[in-house]
Amino acid sequence: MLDAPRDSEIIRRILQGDVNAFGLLLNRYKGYALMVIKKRVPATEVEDIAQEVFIKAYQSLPRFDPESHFKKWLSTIAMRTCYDYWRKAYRTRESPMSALSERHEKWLESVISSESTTSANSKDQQEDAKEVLAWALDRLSPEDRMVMEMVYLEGMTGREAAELLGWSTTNVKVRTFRARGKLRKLLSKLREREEVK
Amino acid sequence: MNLKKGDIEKVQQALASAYKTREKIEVGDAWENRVMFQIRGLGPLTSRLDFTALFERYFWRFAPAAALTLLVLGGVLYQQIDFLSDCEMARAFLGTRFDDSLFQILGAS
Repeated sequence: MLDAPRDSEIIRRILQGDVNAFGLLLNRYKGYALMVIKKRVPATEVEDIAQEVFIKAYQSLPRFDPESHFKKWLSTIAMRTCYDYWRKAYRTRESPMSALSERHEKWLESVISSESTTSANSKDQQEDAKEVLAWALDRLSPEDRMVMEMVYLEGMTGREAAELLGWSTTNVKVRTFRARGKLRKLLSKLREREEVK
Repeated sequence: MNLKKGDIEKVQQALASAYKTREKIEVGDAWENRVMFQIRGLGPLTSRLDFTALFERYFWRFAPAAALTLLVLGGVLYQQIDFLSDCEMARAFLGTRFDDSLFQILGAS
């Protein structure tokens, strides 16, 4: 059986004018790109954004440094495309702001009052958690949203996030600090609503 | 009422866990074909790097060395060239009578 061609070999072929060779990269990395994208944008937008990411990657291939890793380079393009998506979405406010109901307030109260987080694992509670998360993220700026997802929810270091977004590490750290404060305020307000009732 | 640190950690863990369990999204052959259709529409790429691409790739790589060279050259020039301050220049001109200088230029004795 023939070994699959290495990324560098495929890229060399594409740069020599073999457009179809890009299909090999697309097939190899589509799963990874989708995994990165689906966490950051609404499910209805994932396919379009993934398409945009691969088209940008193809157009930028002449500037790709052959000494670096294609996968990492692609994830940088994916992150920045997701960030661009949110900037546009916030400008035009195409995606409606999610609202919360009494059920979500109760979810927050149950998480806080539980002994451990493992008790909040039923499907309904997971759904409530997702909705609270979407509600909170909707209320942050696109920049804060990106750093919150990468650092706070995925556990990346400030340096990793900075590298992927093309920002300085200090900028990411400052934004993470501010965004955590904003999130804390949002959740506190949500809890106050529950307490008032 | 503000949330306590322990509460925040619990909520963070619950939100992070929800964040990681987003539904699985898979794309089919139709999506892949659509992307390749667009890529083919863009046409073949050329391996020849244009000037902008080369500039982008090498500018920052050589920027520190170029800055250091400029500093060294600047230092050498500063040591070698005899600079005259504005005051010294003015004094040199004012110390010479205008008509004397004119005669000298015109070659008259």
